[in-house]
Amino acid sequence: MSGRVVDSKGQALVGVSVKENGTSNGTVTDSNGNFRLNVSGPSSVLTFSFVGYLPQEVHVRDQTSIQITLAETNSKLDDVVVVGYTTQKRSAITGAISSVKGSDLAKAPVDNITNSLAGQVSGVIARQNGGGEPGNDNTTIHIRGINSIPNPNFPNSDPSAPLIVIDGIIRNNLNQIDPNEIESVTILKDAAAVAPYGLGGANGVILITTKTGKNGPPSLSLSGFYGHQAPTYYPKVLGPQDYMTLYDEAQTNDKVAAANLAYAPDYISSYLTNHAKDPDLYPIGNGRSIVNFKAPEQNYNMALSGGSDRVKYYANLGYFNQAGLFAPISYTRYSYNLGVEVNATSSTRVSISLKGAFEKNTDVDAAIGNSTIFRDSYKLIPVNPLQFSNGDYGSSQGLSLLGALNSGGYSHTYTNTLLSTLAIEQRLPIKGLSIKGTLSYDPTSTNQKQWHLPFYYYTINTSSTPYVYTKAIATAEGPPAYTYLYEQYLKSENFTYQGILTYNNTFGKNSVSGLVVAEARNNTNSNFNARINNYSLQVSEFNFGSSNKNDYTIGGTSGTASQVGYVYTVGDVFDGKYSLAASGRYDGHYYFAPGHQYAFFPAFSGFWNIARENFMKNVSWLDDFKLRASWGKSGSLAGGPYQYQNAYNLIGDASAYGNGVLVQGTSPTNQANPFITWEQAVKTDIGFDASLLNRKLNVTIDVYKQNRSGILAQPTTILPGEYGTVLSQVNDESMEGKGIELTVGTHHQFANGLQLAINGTFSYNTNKLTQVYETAATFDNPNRRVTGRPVNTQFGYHAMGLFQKSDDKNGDGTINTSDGYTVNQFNAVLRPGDIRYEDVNHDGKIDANDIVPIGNSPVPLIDYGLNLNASWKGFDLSLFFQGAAKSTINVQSFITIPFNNNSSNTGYEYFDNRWTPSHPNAKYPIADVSPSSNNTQTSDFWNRNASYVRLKTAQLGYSIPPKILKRIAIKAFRVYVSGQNLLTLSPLKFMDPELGGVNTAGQIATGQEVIYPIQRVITVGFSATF
Amino acid sequence: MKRYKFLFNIGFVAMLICTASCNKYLNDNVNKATIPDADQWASEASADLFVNGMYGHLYNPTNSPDPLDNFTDDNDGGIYWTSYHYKAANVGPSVDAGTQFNTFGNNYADWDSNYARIRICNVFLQKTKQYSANFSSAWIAKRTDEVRFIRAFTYSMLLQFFGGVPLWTTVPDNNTMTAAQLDQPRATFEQTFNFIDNELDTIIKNGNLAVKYNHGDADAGRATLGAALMLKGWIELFAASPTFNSGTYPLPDPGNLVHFATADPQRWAKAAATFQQFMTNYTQYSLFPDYSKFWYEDNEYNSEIIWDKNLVANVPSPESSNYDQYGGPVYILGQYYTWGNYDPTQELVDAYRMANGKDITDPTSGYDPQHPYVGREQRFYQSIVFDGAPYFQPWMKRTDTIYTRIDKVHPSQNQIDFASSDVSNTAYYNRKRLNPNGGAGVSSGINYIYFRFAEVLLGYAEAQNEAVGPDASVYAAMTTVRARGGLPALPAGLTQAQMRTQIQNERRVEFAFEDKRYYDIIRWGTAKTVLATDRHAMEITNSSPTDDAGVWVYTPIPLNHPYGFLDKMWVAPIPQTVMDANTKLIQNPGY
Repeated sequence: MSGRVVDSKGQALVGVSVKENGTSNGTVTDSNGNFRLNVSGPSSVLTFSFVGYLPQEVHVRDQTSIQITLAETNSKLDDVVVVGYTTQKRSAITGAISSVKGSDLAKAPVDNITNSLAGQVSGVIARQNGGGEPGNDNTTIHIRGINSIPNPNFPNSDPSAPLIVIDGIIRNNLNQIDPNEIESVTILKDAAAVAPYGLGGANGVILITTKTGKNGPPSLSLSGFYGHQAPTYYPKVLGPQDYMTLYDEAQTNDKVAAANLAYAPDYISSYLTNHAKDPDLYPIGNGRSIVNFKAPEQNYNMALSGGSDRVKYYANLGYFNQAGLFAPISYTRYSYNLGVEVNATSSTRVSISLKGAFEKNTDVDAAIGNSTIFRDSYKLIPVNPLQFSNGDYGSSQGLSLLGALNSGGYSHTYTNTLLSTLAIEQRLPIKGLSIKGTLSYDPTSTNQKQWHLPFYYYTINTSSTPYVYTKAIATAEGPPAYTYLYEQYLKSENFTYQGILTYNNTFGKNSVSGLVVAEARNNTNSNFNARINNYSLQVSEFNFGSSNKNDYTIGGTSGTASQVGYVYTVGDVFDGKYSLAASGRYDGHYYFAPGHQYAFFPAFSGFWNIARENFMKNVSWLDDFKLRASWGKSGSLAGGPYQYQNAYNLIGDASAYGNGVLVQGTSPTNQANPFITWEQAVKTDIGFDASLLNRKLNVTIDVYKQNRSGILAQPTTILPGEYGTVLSQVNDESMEGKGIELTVGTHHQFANGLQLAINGTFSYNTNKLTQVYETAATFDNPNRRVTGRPVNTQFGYHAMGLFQKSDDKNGDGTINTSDGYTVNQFNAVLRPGDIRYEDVNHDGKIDANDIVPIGNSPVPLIDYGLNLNASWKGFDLSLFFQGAAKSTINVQSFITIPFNNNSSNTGYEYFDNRWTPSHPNAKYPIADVSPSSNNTQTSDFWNRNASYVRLKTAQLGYSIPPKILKRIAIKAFRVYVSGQNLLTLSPLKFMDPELGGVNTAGQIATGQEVIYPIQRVITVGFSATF
Repeated sequence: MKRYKFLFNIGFVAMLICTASCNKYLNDNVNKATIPDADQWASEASADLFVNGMYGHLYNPTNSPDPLDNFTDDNDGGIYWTSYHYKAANVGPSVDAGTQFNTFGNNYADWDSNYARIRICNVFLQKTKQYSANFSSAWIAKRTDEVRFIRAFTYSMLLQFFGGVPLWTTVPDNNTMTAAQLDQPRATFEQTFNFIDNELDTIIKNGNLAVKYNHGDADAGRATLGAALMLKGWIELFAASPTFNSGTYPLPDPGNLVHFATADPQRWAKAAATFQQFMTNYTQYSLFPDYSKFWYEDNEYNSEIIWDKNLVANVPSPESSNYDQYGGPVYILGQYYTWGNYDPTQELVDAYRMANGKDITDPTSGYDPQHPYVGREQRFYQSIVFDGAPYFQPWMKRTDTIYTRIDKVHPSQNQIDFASSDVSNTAYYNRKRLNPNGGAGVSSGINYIYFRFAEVLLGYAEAQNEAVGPDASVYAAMTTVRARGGLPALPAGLTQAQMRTQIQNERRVEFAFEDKRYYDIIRWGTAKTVLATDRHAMEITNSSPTDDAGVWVYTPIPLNHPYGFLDKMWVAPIPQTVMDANTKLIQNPGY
């Protein structure tokens, strides 16, 4: 029997499985869709099946050659979705789960999916607050909003961060996974979905599934893109004349006599002419000139996939390279993925997966770091020299940008990650029962090498001709005047062992499923570091360093970690209409004291598909209406290990006695809390999944609530200050979160071949602190009370605009009691152009008692996304808009406050919008040579709405028709133009609304000026399949 | 079928094994980051580490960009610092009530840090008793006195800033003590004073410690009998002073928490006797001849040094000094070097005498206000960088001249700018105590000196002058200090009040930039005068600014920084968080 399998458009389908029912006889279609199979006779029945298409059965009868047209699966209901420790048919899911295909995420020209996930699936909140540094541009991702309270004792960990699971193993390795390798991403959101992850589940779980081999002949694909990046926003700072003009204006405002002004008017007006004649006496420093606004970025990927019923294989090699905004900064990654799956017997499957990456991060000289370079470039006083006419480096405020960038020093980080998994799956003699054992071994090694060379620059003496240039070493703000080399070696090995027993069976109308998992995880890690100062020879190897023992430091630590968990899930679906499920995990962790190491996290859920009821039969427009509900507990590991132990810390360099050599010392640790344990969340979720109009319109809505308790907090008010030590944190704060999320999708194919798909997501999350430690001063003041308000609510003064000339009734230049203004604002002498604050408690002075809430957390409460996809005759277009609202950010920076920190430069944002007598309706206050304490108070004057909508990703592609390709033996070829962060609409016109606001722990933080700008990327790319 | 059974068994057994061994699996992790109790107190060597840690916890004020002198009329720190708000009389127990005081002057007045130090001392005393079998009695006797000295020193800081405080000599433990036992009320000023005084007295009588360590001694930097007696004399002098010893206090203090209930002039005599005891018994101490080189690292543990915190060059803070990052001219040889945080005021500059010993206000002194830096006493040139001053440190390639004048023709980077930049707002920088070998950007090993012998002499002179009057011994002590500073002896026949003025000015000049002035203006009561008035800068302009052809005109001008002194400021407020935690505490008057 022979034949050909095609899709609805008549194109050949390659790799379709053709099987004779009841036998092991089968084959797959070749590259032209053809197959040939010896069948036992006319009564045989063949089944044609292929992922994404409805299977079709054909009775052979007397046919010898047939053409089969497979229909595409229109509904997602029969998709298999990856869930905790197993997979499930979408139709059987009771929890709140959303998923997205890897191909949708790979459209964005980014190195990992953290930057493309937000808005694609509902419930994922992401903000690129850490900036766009190559290799270090991870977006802060939260699932269903902020889940916990930032812990100041652990400033490097975000207590709301979700758990990351890659191919079934808990691994925090999003950085190492090329988006091209990803098959799908599943987001587990409610208690029922996260219950299998126990103490790791309370913040939601992101499951990444990478690609594996598929049945069919070998298929080789190549893809790549090349493009350029530029900052979404880069501050426009003042040129020399505007700087000087503003400085004089500020001095005048500050009552400096006209004769003593720093810059005479004719000096300013002739500055550019003079600069042309004598650029060293009249220097111009422009911080923008060091920035590369066309930094390249490129990515190449090669994948080979194929397989038969016996063996399937997948191999992938990836290369990613991203240059930085100035020369030394770059990130390079080589990634690989090799997976082989062998059906050793008809009931035994063995799979091996090796994934990994070699990464190299390159940064500027170790003693400065790129964030300081940005800060220094914004600060640079424009009448100071960046570089002299003879090429020597200049300086401003003791900082030499070029000296630092070109010191010859560097900071390199090499990371080698391997994620390896071996699994054996055995179907057991009881129908539907199988057992799987998994061993995963993930070693990571990191080598950091930091080399510092002194930052040389030149000072100029203009009192003699020719000018004398003297070499100097910049030490302002920290860089040492000597050479040093620092190296650190970190090694970490993660082991995961899983035993999984699964059961799936059908009894009449009941589909029963169950799962039992025993999982053990452990980690060993060590680090070794050394530093030698003072190199006479500039060779960055330890052997060349100083032999003086005072120039040496050596250090190292090691540790282990372990966790044990038992997972169960049981569920029954009746007639596709009703389902009940229970799941949970009994979890143990080494962080806590014996006796407090274990906890149980159960969850229950169910659904009712109303559309399948008889009474709904006549409602033809509704295909499915699955009402879901779930309730359960989950946990979150907070704090650090061994907080239950009383002990002493070793201080390497404690003190010194007469001979001036540092000796070791010890110091008592905080008093331990033996009862310390994990945070707990109780989550409730009600939602529905609806399909309407012949599955053309799909809607999912969830409303949910979670109570988080046992959040770690410092019990400040319990012991007297004389106690002399701090207690360890206690599990004593709590909060609740509520939210709604919505996903709507529709698709349509027009008669002329145009296909349109629109998918939108929306989530709104609020939260409320229900119990926190706060002082009586804030708790007793309803305006300042933190309890009852959302996490990171910002407090400050309420600004009532700027004073105007009309407020200075007696015209003496100051506004005080003689003008009828009796409020004391920080003892400041108030002038027109200064900020006026509301005296909330009417006590005649502005102080802490006048503080009120002045905005939301910088992390937005509302997030939404809109995905538009269109394709027509080989052209495809996708536009992805992402937005956020209800977010507030403090915009004080060099760009908005003039002469901050040593007469630093400021931005045209301030210059063009500042208050002057002739510009009374100004956005910013009057200029001062020193930031005025009245005008720089935290207030709603500075806390601005950071809502935005941005065209996050856009892609336009063209696939060359197969007819043409056939001649050159290529199956598919597509070229495209793609971009990220292309357009942004925001009330903040002068900075990226996603940048800054909170630190890595999720605490409110200022200082956008030290963050690497977010990048706008435009690339061209191709993909080819052979 | 066999195969299935085999695999099934493996899985089942694996689960069972895991269940049985899971506790072990979790508890096998060893906390290698910390040291358990038994190891800590196992031997003298291990317990010595704890004492090392205790010395490491001592204050190192050299690393404060806002030194205690910025809280006085001597220095202007600039608007970024706490001192700016303090001097605007904006002080309170919490941010709600003004500037928070507990970070004031780098932890001097930090309630929590001080009690943390006290706890560490008490832990040592408790644990060495518990593990006494591991130590020799000689070791215990010596270390115990060292620890008791550190505890007394820490209580003395609390006394000086807060008045009477709860006195803890044991380790509070919330597992064995009730809340009522943990919340102790404040001892009175007198009780706290007596406690410190008695502790020091005991240490001195025990005689377990060395009198003095000299340069090269391995134990130099540990507590000595000299340090104990000096602290005793100082705390007696402090308490005998008018603010605390006049029997009255400007604000109601019914619990006598911040002053003695009754005035007692004999307290001066007690202080004088203690200083006399020092001079008589501890003859190992004498003035170091060269004032300008006194702080050099080469001269550590010289004859004058009584007690210091030993610091080491080029190691991480706080065990090294960043003083050179904060003090001295901002631009040196055209290069940016320092933050310029120690800017002497015109008031301090005026306190330096003429070389002939006369006050500049004395018409016969020879002082010319238009040539104000000519003919001044030696310590002026050793301590202050002024306009036109040659500036040289051995680490510099050549001598620089520092110009702070407003020069339109040849503007200098150090030119006074009245702005928030690091450049001085007063037209002066300090020179004293800077590191000759390193310069800014290099952390130095210059020790922070808490007490030196000149303080014994001036302390004696003051106490004796108050107790008895300006007798010969007062003159002798003053003459010794002044002679080292290049000044002639004081004229004979001064009244007690005249001598008092001389002593007070002598302390200001001799101890400038040594964090002594704050305590002096508080205890003398002069803060009310000197802080309730604006400080001054020196504006130097040319009478012909366009070509510098005229003469340079010196005009002292007000700094225009907010100023004020309120009666509550004689002592610091107890931080509100501390008040909230212990309801038995009574807040200091006026806060």
